[in-house]
Amino acid sequence: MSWGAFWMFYECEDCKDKFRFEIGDINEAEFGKCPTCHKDAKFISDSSKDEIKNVMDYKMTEL
Amino acid sequence: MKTIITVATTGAWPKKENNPNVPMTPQEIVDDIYDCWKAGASIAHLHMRDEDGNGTMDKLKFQETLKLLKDRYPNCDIVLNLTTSGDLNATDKTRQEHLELLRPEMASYDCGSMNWMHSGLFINSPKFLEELGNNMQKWGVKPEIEAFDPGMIANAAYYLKKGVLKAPLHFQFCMGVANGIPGSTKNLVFMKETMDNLCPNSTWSCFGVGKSAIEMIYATIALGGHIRVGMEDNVMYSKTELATSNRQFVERAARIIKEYGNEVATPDEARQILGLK
Repeated sequence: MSWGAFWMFYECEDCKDKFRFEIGDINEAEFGKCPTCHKDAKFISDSSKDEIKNVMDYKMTEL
Repeated sequence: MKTIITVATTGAWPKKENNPNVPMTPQEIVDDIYDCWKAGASIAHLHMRDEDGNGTMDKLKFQETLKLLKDRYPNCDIVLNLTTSGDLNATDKTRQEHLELLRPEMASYDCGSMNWMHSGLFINSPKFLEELGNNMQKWGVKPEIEAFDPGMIANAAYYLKKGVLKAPLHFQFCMGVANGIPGSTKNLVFMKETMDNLCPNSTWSCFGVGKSAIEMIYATIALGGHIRVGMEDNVMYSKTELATSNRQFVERAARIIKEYGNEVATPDEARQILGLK
């Protein structure tokens, strides 16, 4: 059994950008940081909860 | 070398809002299986959904779907591999009833417990695994041993020595699932080496979830394994495109297999490779 990709959703408190990281990238130094500001972003939610109604509102961030 | 393609059409998770093309009803699943069989899939791994679209272990739903497949597509000889883990809240009994009723050629055997999606528990107790392994032998169903981490391979070795599982074993390495081993070539090599060390002469297949999906296809073929694809594991065909069908996944797997220089195994060839009766 599997349950699809696991996403972690963040918002940058400086530039207000919203983005998501796939858990497969968790070892990358930039994981959880704003791709623009390169600062730690605020964790909002993840795939374990059904809180993010439209995943596409959060830009997919590749590392 | 002949490479087996397993298609996991439905799973327990994706709904139409995740991908409008995911098959969920018996009719949709059956049509999808046939389509994928024509494209080169030799094994179909099946999950069922209830009326609300949630995963269910209802044996009658499995029965309805298998009968529909047989009636509608009598020439489709795809190997049927039924899940035993379609509902995290199912009982040990309901996880096995459909196997006793339907006697499929294969069924999943999730060889250990784990946290699930950082939110729940995926329980496969020693009691359940012993009961399931013994019952699958009694009913003539070949276990597909799903391993989400190397510990589950070690569990399989224990059950092999105890007589609960019989050689040759067949593994499905589930890579990149949250709470399981991350999907990478290095980790896949480790999984394979662990299997070769503890359960020699086993066959194996592999899938990767999310970003690891494509890497796992290529790495698996290069390492001599078999492939699983389908919307149970990935609803995206690429980073930006939703999959249009499960057939799309099967066709890509078949292309990669052929370009590597292997051949896509037919269902009967898959039966021979896996030692199915």
